[in-house]
Amino acid sequence: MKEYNISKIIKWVGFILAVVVVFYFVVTFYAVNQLTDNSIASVSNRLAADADNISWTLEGVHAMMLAEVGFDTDLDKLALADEENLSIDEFAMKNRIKTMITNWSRELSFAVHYAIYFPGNGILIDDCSTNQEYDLWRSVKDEMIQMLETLEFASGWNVVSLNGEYYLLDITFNTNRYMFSYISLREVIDSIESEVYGENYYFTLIDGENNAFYNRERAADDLITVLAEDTEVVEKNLLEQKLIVKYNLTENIYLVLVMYDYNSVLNVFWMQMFFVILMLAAVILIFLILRIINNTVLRPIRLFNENVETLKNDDVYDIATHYQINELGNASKLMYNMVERIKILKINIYEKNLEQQKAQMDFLSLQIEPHFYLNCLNLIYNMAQMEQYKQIQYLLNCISKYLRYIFKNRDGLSNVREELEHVKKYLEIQKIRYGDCFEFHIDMDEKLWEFELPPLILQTFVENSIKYTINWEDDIEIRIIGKIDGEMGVMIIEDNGDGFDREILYKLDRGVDISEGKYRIGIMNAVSRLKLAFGNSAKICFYNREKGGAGIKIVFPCKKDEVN
Amino acid sequence: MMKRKRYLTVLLIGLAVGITLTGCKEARTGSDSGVEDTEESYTVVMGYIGDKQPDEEMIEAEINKILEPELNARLDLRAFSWSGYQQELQMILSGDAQLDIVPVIISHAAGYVSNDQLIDLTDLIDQYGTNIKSLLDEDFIHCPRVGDMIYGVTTMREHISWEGIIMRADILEELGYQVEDNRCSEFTSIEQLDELFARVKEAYPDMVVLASTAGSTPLFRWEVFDILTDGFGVLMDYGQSVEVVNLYETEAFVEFANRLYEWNQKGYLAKDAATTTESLQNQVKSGAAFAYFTPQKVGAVEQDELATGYDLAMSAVMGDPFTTSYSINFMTYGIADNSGDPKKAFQVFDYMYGSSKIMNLLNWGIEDVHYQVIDDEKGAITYADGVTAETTGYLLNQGWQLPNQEIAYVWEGESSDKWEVQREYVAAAERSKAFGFSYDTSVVSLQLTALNNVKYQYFDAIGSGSVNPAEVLDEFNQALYDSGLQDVIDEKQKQLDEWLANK
Repeated sequence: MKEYNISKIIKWVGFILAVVVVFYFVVTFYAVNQLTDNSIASVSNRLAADADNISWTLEGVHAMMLAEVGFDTDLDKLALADEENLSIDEFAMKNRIKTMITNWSRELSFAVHYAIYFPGNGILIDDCSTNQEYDLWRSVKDEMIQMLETLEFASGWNVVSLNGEYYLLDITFNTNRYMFSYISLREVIDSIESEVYGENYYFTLIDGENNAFYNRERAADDLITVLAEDTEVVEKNLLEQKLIVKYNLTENIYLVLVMYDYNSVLNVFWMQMFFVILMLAAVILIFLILRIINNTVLRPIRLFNENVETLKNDDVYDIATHYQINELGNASKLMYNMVERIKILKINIYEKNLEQQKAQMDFLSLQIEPHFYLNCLNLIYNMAQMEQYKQIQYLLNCISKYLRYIFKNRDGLSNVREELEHVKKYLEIQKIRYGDCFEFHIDMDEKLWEFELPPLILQTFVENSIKYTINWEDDIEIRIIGKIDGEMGVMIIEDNGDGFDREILYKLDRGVDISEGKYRIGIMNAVSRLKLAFGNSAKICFYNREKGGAGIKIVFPCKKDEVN
Repeated sequence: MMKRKRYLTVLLIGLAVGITLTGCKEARTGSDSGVEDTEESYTVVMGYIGDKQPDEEMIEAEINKILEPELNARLDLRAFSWSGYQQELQMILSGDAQLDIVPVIISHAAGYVSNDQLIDLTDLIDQYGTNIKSLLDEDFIHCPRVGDMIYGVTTMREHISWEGIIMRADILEELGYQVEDNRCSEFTSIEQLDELFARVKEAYPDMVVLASTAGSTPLFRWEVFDILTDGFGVLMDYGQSVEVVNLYETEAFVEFANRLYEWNQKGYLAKDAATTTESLQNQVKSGAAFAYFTPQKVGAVEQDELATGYDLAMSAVMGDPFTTSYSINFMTYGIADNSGDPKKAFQVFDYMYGSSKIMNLLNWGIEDVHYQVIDDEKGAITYADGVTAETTGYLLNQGWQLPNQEIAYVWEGESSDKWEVQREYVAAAERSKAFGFSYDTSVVSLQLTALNNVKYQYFDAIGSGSVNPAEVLDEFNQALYDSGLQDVIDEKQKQLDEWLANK
């Protein structure tokens, strides 16, 4: 499994994030700038188009009125007519004019109203066709006629208040008639209301003296310096999100747009900023959390791991009590306790093992057949019959020493010298028993004396040799040779009997148990005891000599030296 | 739109691309659960003159719920505007577009008939006109005729001519006149109005005493003769004379025209009395005018009180109600010659005369959607909750134009017994000698066109008192004769004489 280094990843992620954020800000700033410019341009263009449209309409209306009514010489007849006593022609003419201006008032996107007034005879022609238009006309006509008496302004469009509402009014005079064209400001502005300008905006009209005529209350605060500026975009306030744009409608009337939240892009930008900051905060928070987790969890876990690792190598466990996490601390304590208990258990098991081995040794020691003792007793009995008292004394001395050695309470191993002494005693006993039936030779390097062997090993093999070779007929020779080969001691027991049975030898070579019931236990015991005492460092080898007879070679380490 | 685009752009650049996608999932709406009849039901297209109502389709659906099981027919309404119906109807009738039930205004009837655009209803009325026959007087059924052919069936409305004057009751009372039950019985003739008008003018110098409007001048309302379809050649004396005469040369007319001129000179009428298009009611409502001539329909005063906001009183200053063919024939419904199933169309038409549900649907819309019943006993209704005159999706309010408004609800404020009273008036009305006669205009159609042009030139000017009759009447009559007035009078007299002889 691939391993991840968290802090490295965090560093990389942080770096990439920083690059992305920087890139994001650059792009966003660029986009916001572009879009802001675009949106202002689009608003400004739209307003320019609207203003031009209105402007043209106003010019057109003025021109049309003058051309169609002002210069219509037929109408001079109406100026001379007696309103109380119209001729049918005059009546028809009046009707024609009314129909004409009524049709005009329907032609434009906002209702421009017209009226013609002949001051000479008081004939007044309106353009009304619906009840509402008559209501409106009735509300403004008297004021308009009165205005003529104190006509201050020049011909052309002006903003006037009629019956409490503002109108764009154009009064033109030609020879004998006044021509009125008037538009409710509300209508004009309604006609250019558009969602292009967003949701929070308003229009107003101002004149050359900065007087606002529409949305007066709102305009009062916003428009203070509108006229001071020459440019179309009068004010562009990013913070307040306020945009003021003005356009000329006529010589001294401006259409002004005050737009709030004009830069909806900016809102999006702020919103995004907020999200980005939120994201960064989240990333930093995650980083901090990771740090904390690293400090409080990962590192202790690593430490814990290392401790466990040393435990594996050195059998030592450091409890490392500075763990911040309770669970880990507890686990560590538990681990420590466990390790301690395991140690104790190990020692216990080891000791038990030793005890077991000892018990086995003891048991094995006791495996020595009682046959020998019975034979000895028989021998003593026979010797006593034959009154060989000297020999009996000697024999008994030997037996007692022999038995003493056997029953000697011993711990572990006995040295070769003692062992050899014991074997000599045994052989002498057997010599007494068998007489000249066999000879034995001991050739022992003295340096071997202090080597140690499991007790009675040597006797086991010698005993075995005697048991299987002595037949009262042949001259049996048993040789015991001890020497040192390097660090190892070598003990060889040879005879000149029949040698090992082939099958037995085969089995012994492969370490197969050859014991059958009580038989051949001795050899197997000796083999396992050697193994117990020296493990694999001791070797035992069974062979048949070339000249006939069996041989046993024991190679074993100098136990005594090791202890020293 | 732009704004949204800008958002989108930035969002694409920015992070929250996903947000914009949420709107894309468009639920499929609408189901195909419409009931499809296995039998083919015939869709009857019925025209009416008026503005198309926004919720027309809803109304049609409701009506079809009634018509389909009853007659295996469906109704499709087709609105014709008052300003353009003449051309539109002519186009449809001479073309292939389907129109089964045709609204026929009296002046066009002869034209439709001579062009074979309408069918003879005599047999259909006989066979299927169950409701029509039970509701309409036999004479009324036989009245809308050209020659022997019945071209149309009139609607249940005031089949009388009975003009009167409606005045501001508060001013009348202020001047000491008795007003009772929306009527002022002190004035029974036009002459008596001179004094009243003088007093009103004195008390309210700025006020227009008698309102007038283009096309509805006081003269237009002066109905004391049988107009004989078009007014070019009339029967004087409320149609009791059988001599066709030129109205504009009669003594009565000259007298009334002079009176109007006199009233105008005295400032009783507005200076734009002939040209204004402001409704008479609105002139009173605005406080500018005191009175106006108007038909004395049942409920007219109540209706106008709502329209003007003033208490009003009516006086019958132009005599008693009388009935002419014009009253019956002014507006009728015929069956188009190119109708796919004239029989079915007529059955549907006749069925409507007896179905109050359909009448209510046609005139007022759907209950609790467009209107609600506020007085079950009187059958009075008003706007449904949350609905106003401005917001309602359906309010035809053209009862007179519908087959049988009498079985429909009445609007709040109208008297519930108006139809009974109206029936009494109709029954009591004196009938013109030429009642039941309608002349075949097709032989003089050219003259009529010219005459109408002349009339248009003079009628409102004279009718509003704007011109001096002494100066223009001769000129007017001369222009009429120049345009063939005598031909029309002669033709009318000839046909009338024939008709009277066969009566």
